[in-house]
Amino acid sequence: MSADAAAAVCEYVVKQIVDNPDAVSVSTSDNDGALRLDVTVGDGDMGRVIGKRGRVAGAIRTVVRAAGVDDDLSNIEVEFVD
Amino acid sequence: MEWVVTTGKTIEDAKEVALDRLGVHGDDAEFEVLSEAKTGLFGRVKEDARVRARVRPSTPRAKDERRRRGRNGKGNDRKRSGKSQGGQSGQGGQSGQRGQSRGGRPQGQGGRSRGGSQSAEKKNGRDENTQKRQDDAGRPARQSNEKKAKEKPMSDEPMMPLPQQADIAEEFVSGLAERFGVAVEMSREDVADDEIRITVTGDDMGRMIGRRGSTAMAIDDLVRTVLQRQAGSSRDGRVRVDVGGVRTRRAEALANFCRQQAAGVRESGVARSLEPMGGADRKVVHDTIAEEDGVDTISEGEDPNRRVVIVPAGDAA
Repeated sequence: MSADAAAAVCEYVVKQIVDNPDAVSVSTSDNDGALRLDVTVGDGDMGRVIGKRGRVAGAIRTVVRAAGVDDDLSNIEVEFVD
Repeated sequence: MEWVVTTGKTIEDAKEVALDRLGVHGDDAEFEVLSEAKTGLFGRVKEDARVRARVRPSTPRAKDERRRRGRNGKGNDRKRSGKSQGGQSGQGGQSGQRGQSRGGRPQGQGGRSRGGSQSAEKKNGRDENTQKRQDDAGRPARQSNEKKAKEKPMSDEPMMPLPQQADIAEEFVSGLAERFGVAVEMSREDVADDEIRITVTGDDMGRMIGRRGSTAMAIDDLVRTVLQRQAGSSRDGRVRVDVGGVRTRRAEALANFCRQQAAGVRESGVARSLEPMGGADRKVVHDTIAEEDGVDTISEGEDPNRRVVIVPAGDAA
């Protein structure tokens, strides 16, 4: 359930930040016990999602992890796929 | 823009090395003395002077601009004034004398005229650009300025009023809370003419606050990013989201700490450098110190390592 929360939060946040929300997709997979979220964004939006010195990406990771905390998801990886 | 740290027998030597490394003229560099040379017994150099330098940023960020207004850019002047060189003509004069050793580097204009325009620049970053452009468009460092200007054009679109920005922020946060599965309430407060604070409260907010408020902080960061994209780059004022009220509590603790540090600076007359912190925290420091007598603040370094230094008032002039 909370895995869904993490993914939902991730997708929501990314869509709010990019210029082209329709091009955003988040896929989940199990990576050795950790939940892995692969985020793809439209052309030119990667910079926004990552931000200066990875600041935005870091904030997204923090928030997404927090969303998954309830469900024993000790580890959530958020990868921004180019 | 990155800092380079160099050493030398004297501060001047270290600066020379830094200029060579940066490949810019003295006028276009910004210095900060990390430590002076320590002389051992019989005047022998025990420890080299350390200086850090970087290419002077062409466009100060907006919030610095606001802060420095009326303070005459003390911060930067301080950075430039080494031990043996005083006041305005400092860098320019020095590079004039030493031009020989760095032969071939364009000298640009004389130190004096630059000195004059520098102090004007610091008062208002916007003037800086126009002034520089009129000043001498042909100098090498200017090219990077122009490039930057192209990358980030000033948009002519009207600025979004603050309440409207706050609407966007609230909408974002409520959407976020919904996906967190947390019921929240939000209250809005005008903390200053140009700042609205949205405090987010709720019963089960622990997850949205995080350890030491890290998640709360991240959410505020994201709000700013969202505003950047949805309200445009030329926003007036700021909207701050305080999840669970942690920010307020933290800010109070930080302000207390700053007052202690300020007292120390006042007594000892020695500047104290605080650890690097984010822009919001730095603002707390600046605001707190602004109300303290006998001390001043300057910011140095680049995010995420930008830090505030509390200096004795007058020292910076």
